[in-house]
Amino acid sequence: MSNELLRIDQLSQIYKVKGKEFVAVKDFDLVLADEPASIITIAGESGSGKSTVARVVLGLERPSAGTVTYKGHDITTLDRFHRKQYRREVQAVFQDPYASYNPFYRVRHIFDVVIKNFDLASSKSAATDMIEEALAVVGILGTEVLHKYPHQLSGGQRQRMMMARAYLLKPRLIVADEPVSMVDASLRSMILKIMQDMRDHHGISFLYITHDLSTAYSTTDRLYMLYRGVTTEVGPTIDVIDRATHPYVENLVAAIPRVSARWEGRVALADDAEFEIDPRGSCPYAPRCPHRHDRCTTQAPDGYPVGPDHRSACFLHDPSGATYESSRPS
Amino acid sequence: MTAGTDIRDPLSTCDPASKMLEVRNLQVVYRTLQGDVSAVRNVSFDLERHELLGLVGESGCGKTTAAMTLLRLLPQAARIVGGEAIFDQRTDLLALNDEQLRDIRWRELALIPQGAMNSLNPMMRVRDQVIDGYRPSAGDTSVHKSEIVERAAELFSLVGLARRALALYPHELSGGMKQRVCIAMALVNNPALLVADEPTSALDVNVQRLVAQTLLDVKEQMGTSMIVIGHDMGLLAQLADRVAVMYAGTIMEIGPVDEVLRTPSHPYTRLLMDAVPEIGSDVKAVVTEGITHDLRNPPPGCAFQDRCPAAAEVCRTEFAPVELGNRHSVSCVRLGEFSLDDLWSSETSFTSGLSP
Repeated sequence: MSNELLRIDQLSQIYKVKGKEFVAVKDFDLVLADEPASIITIAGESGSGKSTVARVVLGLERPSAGTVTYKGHDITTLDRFHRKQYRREVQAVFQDPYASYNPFYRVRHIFDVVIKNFDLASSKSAATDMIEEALAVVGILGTEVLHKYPHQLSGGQRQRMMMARAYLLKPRLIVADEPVSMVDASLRSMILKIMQDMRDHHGISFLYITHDLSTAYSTTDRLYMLYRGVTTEVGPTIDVIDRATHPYVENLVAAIPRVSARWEGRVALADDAEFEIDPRGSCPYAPRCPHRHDRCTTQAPDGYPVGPDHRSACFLHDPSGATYESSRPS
Repeated sequence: MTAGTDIRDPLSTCDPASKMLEVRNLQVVYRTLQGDVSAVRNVSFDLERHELLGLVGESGCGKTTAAMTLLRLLPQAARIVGGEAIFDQRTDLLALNDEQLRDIRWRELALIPQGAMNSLNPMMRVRDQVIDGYRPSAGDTSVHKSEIVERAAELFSLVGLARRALALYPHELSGGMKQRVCIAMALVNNPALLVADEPTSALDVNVQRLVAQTLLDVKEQMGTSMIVIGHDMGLLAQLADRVAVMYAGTIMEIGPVDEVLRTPSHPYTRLLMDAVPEIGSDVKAVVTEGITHDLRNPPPGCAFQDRCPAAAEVCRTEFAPVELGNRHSVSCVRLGEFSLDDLWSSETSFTSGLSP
């Protein structure tokens, strides 16, 4: 545990909907090393459970099962001192840079509140210096923005200000939930570049939550692919995308529109009845999977190794299990 | 359609290669307290029958305004200052009065608005919403009920929705299904021209692909001409026949999708493409931040001059499209005088203040 900043063990989040259990996240494991800092992507489509993981890590929800430990302490049972440390060292940046500001206050207010709550500066000029330093990290001049109101800033500027606000506390980890999905395509690279700079020069790690694999591809270190609450594939980001082994991930990567190649073939979506499937007793992708076998609907696969530090939760890769001579048509 | 505006040539309508839409020198301003903002400046393009034109650019470049001008659905503050848009070689859309507009809109010109799937009425079955605007001929409001239901079922099968979905309410459908309901709704009168504003934004990639496939099927089977607005280059590369790249209200480059997006000729197109990270390529995305000129006071010459590393004296005064053939034109007077490779790599205008 000495070199672990964040560790998630067997995290499950189960919601009760109309008397039925809905498994939002099932047995999620993650280890984030203390050194060196890294950017970990948690990706999936809507309903995959990626934001639920983020909310649990931020302490906004208590997990139904499993633990989240930060520097060796379970985050649900922190004492006063460690809770304050956790609140300071783990920061959040959310999707909507328009909803993160109070429109009645000038932009500087978001920094002043943080400085006051954590008692970071002894004087106003010391506070100003701190704010300027944080803004420099995201490439903004304080004199240009601090006196303005939120509506006078662009979406890209607002999101960079949120990154600067998080940076102000010198955090060890930033949980960024879809930070670029509402930012213009041409400014996305800039936000991603800021994340890389913070990782490389300030030792800040990220849990980067996204549905867009192309933004994760060249910028992030590890990728966790979720589908209906289940971790389908985990590994170094580029390996998972370039050498996808789980049928779901293969299919998803093929559906990403690229400039350099046209889509091949046609797609069909299955009925939504499959939402009823309980991932605790089967593979959630079985209804759509071209390689489906009887075993997939009666048993949940584990993560089987498919490469260096790369695991895939599909029976096709079960070294002990039966291999299938031919795949059954769905 | 009143007789006065009908200048249709009966022969030309049979020619599949003929023009569906001819836009010339379109100019739109938004009135603000600080003066008029030019949102669309001298935009001209042609759209052929059965053609899908992609309109791309950053937010604020005028792509939505340009398209909404054609439908005459601009907000109050906007004013069309000049230009014409000849539809089907017979009608100038910008010169129609309200009554003529009512006849042509939704029957011949249809729209899938941005975030369409959130615009469905939660209290109505989707079937009733799809056929609400069904007008087989101008001004005709008396359509037989069975005919209506048949039409809705036809459209649902076209967009790949099950017949049983007809009787459902919007909350019973997924996002992708709702978006396809909106496509069906726009097609109810078999329009000749369909404008779709970001038709797949906010959808997961698998669903996005399905909706894109639906649009292509519609184009194939109904021969609809389309203008699709978007900023996802990868998606437009799948959908479009031709692409127009807009910047600060001006078309910078327009031409066949393969030429424009895969081998850009204009520095701005190149920048836009380089800013998009692409899976499977190890080329680092370019990061630049530039200040666009004050849109109330556009400088003479090229609209991109303030951000273009290749800008020279001539760019401050001159601006004209250069025709490359194959209906491809590039608005850069210095075209061919410099190489687009390495235009940005040597000077990255964004520094985060962190480089050690």
